[in-house]
Amino acid sequence: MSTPMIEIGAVSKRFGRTTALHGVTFDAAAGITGLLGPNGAGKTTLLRMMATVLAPDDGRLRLLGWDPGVADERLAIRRRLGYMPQEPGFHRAFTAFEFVDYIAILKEMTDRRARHDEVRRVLSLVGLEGVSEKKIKALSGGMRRRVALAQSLLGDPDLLVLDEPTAGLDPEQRLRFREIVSERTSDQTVMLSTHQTEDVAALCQRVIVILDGQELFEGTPRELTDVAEGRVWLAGERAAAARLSWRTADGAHRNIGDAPSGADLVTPTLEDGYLLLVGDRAFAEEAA
Amino acid sequence: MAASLRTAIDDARASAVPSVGTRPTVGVVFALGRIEARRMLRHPAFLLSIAFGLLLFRGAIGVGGSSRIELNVAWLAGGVSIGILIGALLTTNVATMRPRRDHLSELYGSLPAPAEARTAGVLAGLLLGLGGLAIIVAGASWLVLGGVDEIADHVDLFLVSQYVLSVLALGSVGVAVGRWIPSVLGGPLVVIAYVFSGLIWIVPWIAPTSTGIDVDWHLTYLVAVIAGCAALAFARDRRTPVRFLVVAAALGLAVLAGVQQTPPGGY
Repeated sequence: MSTPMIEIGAVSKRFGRTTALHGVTFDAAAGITGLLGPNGAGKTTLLRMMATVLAPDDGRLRLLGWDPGVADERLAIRRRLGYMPQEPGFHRAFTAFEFVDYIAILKEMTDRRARHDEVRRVLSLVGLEGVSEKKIKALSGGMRRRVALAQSLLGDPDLLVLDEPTAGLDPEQRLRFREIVSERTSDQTVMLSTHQTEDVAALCQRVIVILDGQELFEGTPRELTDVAEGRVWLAGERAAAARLSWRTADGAHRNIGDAPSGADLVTPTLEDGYLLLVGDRAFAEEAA
Repeated sequence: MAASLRTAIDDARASAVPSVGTRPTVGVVFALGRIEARRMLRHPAFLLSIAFGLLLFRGAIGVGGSSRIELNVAWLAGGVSIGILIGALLTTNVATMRPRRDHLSELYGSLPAPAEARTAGVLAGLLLGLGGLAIIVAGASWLVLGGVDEIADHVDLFLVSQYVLSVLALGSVGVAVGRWIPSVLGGPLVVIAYVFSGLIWIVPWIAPTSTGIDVDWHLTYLVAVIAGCAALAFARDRRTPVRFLVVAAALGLAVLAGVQQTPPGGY
């Protein structure tokens, strides 16, 4: 792997009696890395650490080569960071332009003309140039998420941390999002948390799966898909050996698990691999 | 009870956004100040305060329908002045609480400008917007009303100065209260407490020279209140011993000046 832009070593975080992260370790190089995991797995806690808004209790964390635990280095990271929280807040009485402009000032863009050009650029990138003078309270949920995405793109950051950026977006907007993120240059780093495995398959060079605050998988999307190789088959009904099964539109059951001999195996998807991985762990815990 | 309080404090500590430990730059504060000034002057709470001030002053001096142009000017000047005072408290209070109310603390925490930049931005907005408007209104009123017999004795440069400083002081109270008490009721409650505790009569913020007030000590008092409240607001952003020392020094000076300004025998 090339030089890691994100280095996470045995990172732990507790909130009261709840352990959100338990010794998570992985590196991420420049490029797009997807973070997958069920609700409550610890993805948001991990992303908040990468956004420098949460300090780990234990472990080692380095972002873009700097230690966010040191104030000066934290500032250096923040100057090169774009962050879109899972539930972004908005000043609802601001227009989209005013809000992104306000964030741009807090990103230390003090030259008014250059700042306004940059605000117009990012609003145009997310397709909001036509509604930039509308108040945020008048925008739809999808448009608001695009405002949140726009502010994260201000200044073309070296590290972009996006927490479920495609939640609430319609298919066209999701495609536009993929376009925007995939156009990042090869030396920029994107960490993307999502429930949409299609986004990971379409965009990410690496994928990390988190479950119960622990790292479960690290590899390429192809390697995650391969977890389900030979373990997905179609049948007329739910197979007894299947760990997961659902009826598809054409009436056949798509079964995932240990396929019986002679089963009608199909090409697995990344979602199959992910479901099997998370399901295997859940089954193992159940058995234990 | 104690255990749950301890858990809440531990959780708050665990979730606290690490600061960058730097001071905000002048460029950032000025740019934020311009935005905040514009928003304060257009804020519904400010416009309602002006309307309320006019209504209040109309009743107080009884000029409704008067044909004397000077009295109508006095009504306008007095009403707008009261409106600016109330508006300064309310709009700075709302502006200070905005990031918390709109759940933006996390996003703002990830940005390079420290929390002090936003506090300084609201204070700069107060100075540029409401402070500027107060100077214009007070200056114009002085010019116009200085020639009116009934009022001329009370309107002087001292009254103008203390009015402008009172606007800034009330605005600073709004910022300090907004940083420490996360409720829109915080600012108004502090003023209600100030009025109903009787403190307003012991240490008035605006009093003409004719009351016998010590001019220098009174202006010192107002400046100390502004400095104390600003320091208190910054102490919420980052709690350093130096900041609390400045708060203590400024408030100590305010108490001393408050006592010294009072004329012998009271007002």
